[in-house]
Amino acid sequence: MRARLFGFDRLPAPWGGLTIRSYQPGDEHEILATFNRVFARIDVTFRPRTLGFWRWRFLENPSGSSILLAVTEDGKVAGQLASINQRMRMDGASTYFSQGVDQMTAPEVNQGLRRGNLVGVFNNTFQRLHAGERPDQHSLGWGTPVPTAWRSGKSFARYQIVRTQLKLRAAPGEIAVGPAGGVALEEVRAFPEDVVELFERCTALHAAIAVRDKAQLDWRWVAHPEKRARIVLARRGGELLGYAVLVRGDFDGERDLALVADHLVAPREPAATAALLGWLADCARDEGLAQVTTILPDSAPEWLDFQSARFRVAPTRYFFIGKQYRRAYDVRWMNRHWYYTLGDTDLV
Amino acid sequence: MPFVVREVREADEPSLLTGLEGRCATRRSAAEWRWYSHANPAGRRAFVALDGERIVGHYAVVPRRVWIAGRESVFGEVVDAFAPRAAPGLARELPYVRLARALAAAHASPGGDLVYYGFPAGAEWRVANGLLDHEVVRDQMVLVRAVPSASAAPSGVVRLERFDHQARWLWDRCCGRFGAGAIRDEAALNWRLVERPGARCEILGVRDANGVLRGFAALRAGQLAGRAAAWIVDWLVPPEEPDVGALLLAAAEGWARGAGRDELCTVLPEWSPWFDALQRAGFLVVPSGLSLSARCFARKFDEVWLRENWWFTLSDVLSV
Repeated sequence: MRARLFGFDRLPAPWGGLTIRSYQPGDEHEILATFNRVFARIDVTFRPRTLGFWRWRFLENPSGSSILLAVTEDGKVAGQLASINQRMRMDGASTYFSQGVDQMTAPEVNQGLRRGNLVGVFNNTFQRLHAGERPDQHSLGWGTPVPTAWRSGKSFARYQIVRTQLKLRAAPGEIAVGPAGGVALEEVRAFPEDVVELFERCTALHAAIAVRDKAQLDWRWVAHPEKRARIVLARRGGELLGYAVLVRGDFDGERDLALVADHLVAPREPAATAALLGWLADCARDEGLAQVTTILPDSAPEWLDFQSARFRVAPTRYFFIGKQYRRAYDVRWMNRHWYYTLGDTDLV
Repeated sequence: MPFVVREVREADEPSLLTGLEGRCATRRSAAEWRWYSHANPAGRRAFVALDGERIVGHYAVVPRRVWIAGRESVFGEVVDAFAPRAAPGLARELPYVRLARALAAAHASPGGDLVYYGFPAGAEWRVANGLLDHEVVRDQMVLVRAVPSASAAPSGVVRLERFDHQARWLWDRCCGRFGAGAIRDEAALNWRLVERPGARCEILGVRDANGVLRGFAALRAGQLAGRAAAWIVDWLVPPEEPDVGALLLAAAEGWARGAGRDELCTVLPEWSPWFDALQRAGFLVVPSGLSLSARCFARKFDEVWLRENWWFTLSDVLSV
């Protein structure tokens, strides 16, 4: 049941000692102290977050980040709403999405409605500071929460489900692709400048898509402090038709998978799709990985392309939730038009 | 508001059917209304709004007896809901919501009806989600396979005129894997799949050498999610009997071809082994554009739990 505590953006009286404010340089040390304390209590596989990873994620992202903190009078971080920003193209116009990550409340204030109140305060404050229709403002706040966070988000911040997410998976030996004639593959260590031209072509196919330019993709896949990614480009006569990113990792409770972490192919280029899927299968086989796995929106043409290559659909524990900040673009619109991959999420 | 909200009475039929005409997405005949309203072995849940003697609003759920977490309860499908607009510019939230809340107050609670569900869309979804706490259980996927032009008819598949007591035996063999599911016994299956006016299903079954039912598929040609197809409306086969499933699929394909349909389609929970097995048999998973939503009256059994535990097929809705 949704609470009727919605609508305020200031802390209620019992929390008079907490201040809600945006991140300031130097806060990262207290943020990490609270983060490592909070998540160690709830995740048995938790490994402490390093300062290097934090800086990469929040300070080095070319699209930026938005961090709201609840700070005690003695400077401790008692709660956080952190968002990884995404520069987006939506119906041909620039805007931002923000992916909520690392949302936390210190145990001493993490009690029932009090925690819920903090979630509401954070989200209302975020909306007041960042949401709007200008190109530098945010159109959607979204995330892939655990069930507890979902219940809190829907009750206190009016989040809605964008999609209940399914995954696509296949054993490398099962993947069967069509002809890839004329397409040349090149494995690279960094993205080329002309990847942005591929992105621009793909905006004709996907009405909402995060900007995929060299700066963004290199940050995500080349500069990642913990993950090693294999990147392959598909070209015909020098023209970039698509790319894929393969990461070895765990996902949705399964270990040691070949994860298709990102995938983008120009419209009506089935040979490029075939070449990239063939490469992904070969890589997984070479690395001795039993399953190739990915997520894609079921509204995208790639959803059927992968199934045609004998990927099968299976459930995940994940669902995408969103809070719309622009009236014309609600979560149902996002469900039909937003293209994303694993790389858009913090799940890999 | 000038209107009165109360439970449906049998004498409401003429006025109610007039009210339903053109007000709901699904055209409902008098026979079908009587079927779901009076003949349902799980009972009736319906409220009307009256302006004087005239019915101006209606909200019904079609109940199903459900086995959930080791006990029997009731889930209900929201159908034939309409209500007048409260005032220009305010849409119809108030009367619609009053009806829904009156019905829930009479029947729903952690110890009563546990879940009300359906496929609301557009304005109905916005009201259901915003004011009645409906949440998305899942974006409903459809399993689709093209029907080949010819294939050999399988042996060992029989046409069932009606279900008998063996339906419950089969259900009991299958339901241990389900956290929740509408009880598929003789009464419920005959009511839903055989006796629905104008929408009788073709029931194909496989029996063992002793005549015991090992599995069945209920089929009907119809239109759903933009697909004019042969639909597997219900499917109950123990997953450890893939040979039974293969026979039923082959027979279903033959029936679809005979019905002049190019596609064989169905809906199954993604966690079911049959969801994977049907893909291995050539079915593709495509979005339907529908979202199964639920209003949950017990905190423990919310939309997340339902997504992972509820055995849901098209027999749980009146869409086909």
